[in-house]
Amino acid sequence: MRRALLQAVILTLASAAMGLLVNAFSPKGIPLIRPPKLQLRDQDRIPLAEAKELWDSGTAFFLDARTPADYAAGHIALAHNLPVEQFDQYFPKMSAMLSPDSEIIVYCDGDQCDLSHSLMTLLRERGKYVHVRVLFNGWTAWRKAGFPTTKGAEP
Amino acid sequence: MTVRQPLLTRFLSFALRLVVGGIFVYAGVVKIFDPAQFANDVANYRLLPSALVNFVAITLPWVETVAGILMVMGLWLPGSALVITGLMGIFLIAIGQALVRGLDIRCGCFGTIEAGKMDTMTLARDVALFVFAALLYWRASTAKSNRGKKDASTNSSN
Repeated sequence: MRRALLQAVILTLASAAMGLLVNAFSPKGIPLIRPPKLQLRDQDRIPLAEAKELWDSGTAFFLDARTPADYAAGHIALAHNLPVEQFDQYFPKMSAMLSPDSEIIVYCDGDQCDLSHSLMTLLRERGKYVHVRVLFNGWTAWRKAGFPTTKGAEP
Repeated sequence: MTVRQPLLTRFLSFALRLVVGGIFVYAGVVKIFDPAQFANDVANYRLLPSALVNFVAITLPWVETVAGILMVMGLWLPGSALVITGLMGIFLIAIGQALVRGLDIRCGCFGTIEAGKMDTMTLARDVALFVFAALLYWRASTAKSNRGKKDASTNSSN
C-alpha cells in the first residue's frame, strides 16, 4: 500500500508538472487562473419569446457559438455555426451573409457557457454589427420549449 | 522461486490493462490538444471554484495519459492502478452529482470527440471502468505482497 501510494504521488506530481510546463509554452495554452466570467447586461439578452418571434418572421440571423461537433449534434433550425474559438476561420463566410444592421441572435448552451457572450463582443468589435444579442442558455432553452431544431454540420 | 499464475488469469489481466490504460491514454491525449474546451467542460460541472478550473484542465489530462501509459506498459502497476481507480472514483462523483442536479452538460470525458450529452449510460460506463481499475489495483497490490511474503519465507527457511 505504501509503495502504491508513493508511486501514485510521484506519478501525479510529475505528470501535473509536465502539463504545466507544456501549457506554458504551447500556443494552445490557457491562463493558469480562469479569468472572471463576463457579465451579461440585461440589454444584451433577448428573451426566448422574442427570439422565437424573430425566428418565425425570418428577420433575425441565428448564430451558434459552440464547436462544430456540438452544432452538428443538434442546433436551432436555420441557425448557422460560428464557433467562437475558430472565429477568424469561420467569420469571412458568415460576414458575406450579414449586413451591419442585421438582427443577430447568438447562443451557446448551459447557464455557465459564455461562448455566446464572447461571440457577441467579437461581432460588435470586429464585425461592427450593432444589433447583436445573446439568447441566454439558448440551445437548452429553445429545445425545452419544443421549438424547431435540426442536426447536421454547417454546409 | 516464482509461482506462475494460470495463463487465462494473466491474459485477462493483460487485456484489462490494455483496455483501461488505453482508454485513459486516449481520453488524456484528446484533452491535451484542446485545453480551453476541457476547461469549459470542467467549469460546467460546477464543482470546483473557478480559480481551480484551469489548473485542473491543464494537469488532469497529463495525469490520465501518464497513468494510462504506465498501466499499458505494466510499469508501476500499483501506483498507476491506484491513480486510475482514484480518478474514476472522482469522475463518478462528478457525473453522479451532475445527473442528480439535472445539469444538461457534456461529459467532457473524451474532449470534443464525444459530442452527446451525459446520461446514465455515461455513469454505467464509468462504473465499469472503476471496477476494472479497482480489480487491477487489487491484483497489483496483492501480487506485490504475496511476492514479499514468499521472499520472507524463502529467507527464513535458509
